[in-house]
Amino acid sequence: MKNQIYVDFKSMKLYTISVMDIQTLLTECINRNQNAWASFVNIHNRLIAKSVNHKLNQLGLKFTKSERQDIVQEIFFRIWEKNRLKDIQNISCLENWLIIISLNITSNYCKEKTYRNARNTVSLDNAIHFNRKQNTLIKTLAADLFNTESSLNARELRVIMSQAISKLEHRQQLVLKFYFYNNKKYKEIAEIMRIPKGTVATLINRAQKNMKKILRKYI
Amino acid sequence: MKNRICPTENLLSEYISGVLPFKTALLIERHLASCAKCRLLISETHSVAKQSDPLKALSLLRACICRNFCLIGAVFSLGASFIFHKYFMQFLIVTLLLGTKWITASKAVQTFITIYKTQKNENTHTKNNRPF
Repeated sequence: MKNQIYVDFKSMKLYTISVMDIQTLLTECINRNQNAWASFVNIHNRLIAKSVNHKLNQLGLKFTKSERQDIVQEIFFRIWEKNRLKDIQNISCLENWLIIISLNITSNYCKEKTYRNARNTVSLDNAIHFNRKQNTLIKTLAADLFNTESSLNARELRVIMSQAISKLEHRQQLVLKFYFYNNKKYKEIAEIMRIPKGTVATLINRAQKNMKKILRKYI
Repeated sequence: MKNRICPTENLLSEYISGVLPFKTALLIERHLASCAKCRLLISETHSVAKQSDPLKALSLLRACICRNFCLIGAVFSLGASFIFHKYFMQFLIVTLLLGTKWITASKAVQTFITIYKTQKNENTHTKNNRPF
């Protein structure tokens, strides 16, 4: 029987749970057994907290520890309230499903709380978070604000590029977008799409060649 | 499945776990190629799943050590220079070399270099295009 490994960071113990145990735990949770739900929360709390932190970091938002904990609780509450565990058809997808759910709920939570707007109205004299000491926002934006010609050129180029990419075969498109837009490595793309690393390289190479052919008239 | 309708969370999780049948996976891929939101979701899910796997955490640690190899080496040689007085200068030189390599290889410095280069190119471009 396949086992899954869990780490309890409070007691620093590594323990395994068989898939059958998770299945029974899940069915108990669906049947509204509170003890089962408590152990489910205990097992997956860390994973969901990690997903929340990841999403908040991606959005560039700084939340306090208690606010982050609030979001985690909100996620568990929504799963419990609507009994969303019913949706899971394959037990091996549970963790990925939980990550997707928590990423979505975190993103919605941020929208609801209008943190996004607050972030957009930041002062121009504020330091940018990745380089706190030297660069202020106004210094960074200045190049784009006053250089309209280059920004228009960039916009035009973006449109041309997206049109060219849309003409590619869908697998080439996907690999190219994962590689250039989502900054994924060959290995990671291969893991996501369940194809060998060499195939990813070939797809990207072919896509680049096709792009060259499509964009020849602009060069 | 129409391209504009995003697949459910359940379908996406099944896709990333690799349990979907080939035809459905192809449909999901077709959608992912055109939907930036779902693509970002898949990409983020993959990175969180990778981080949270306790067995992969070790490989991440190894990668972190490899990335900061120069810094670790510099710190060690600095420490060694105080322990082995006989080779103080040699260790100090090694520290300086590794330290400079670490600084120049860091992302922040590389972005500054690219910004400097583009600014320099723009300056030469404007000088050449001056009417007088």
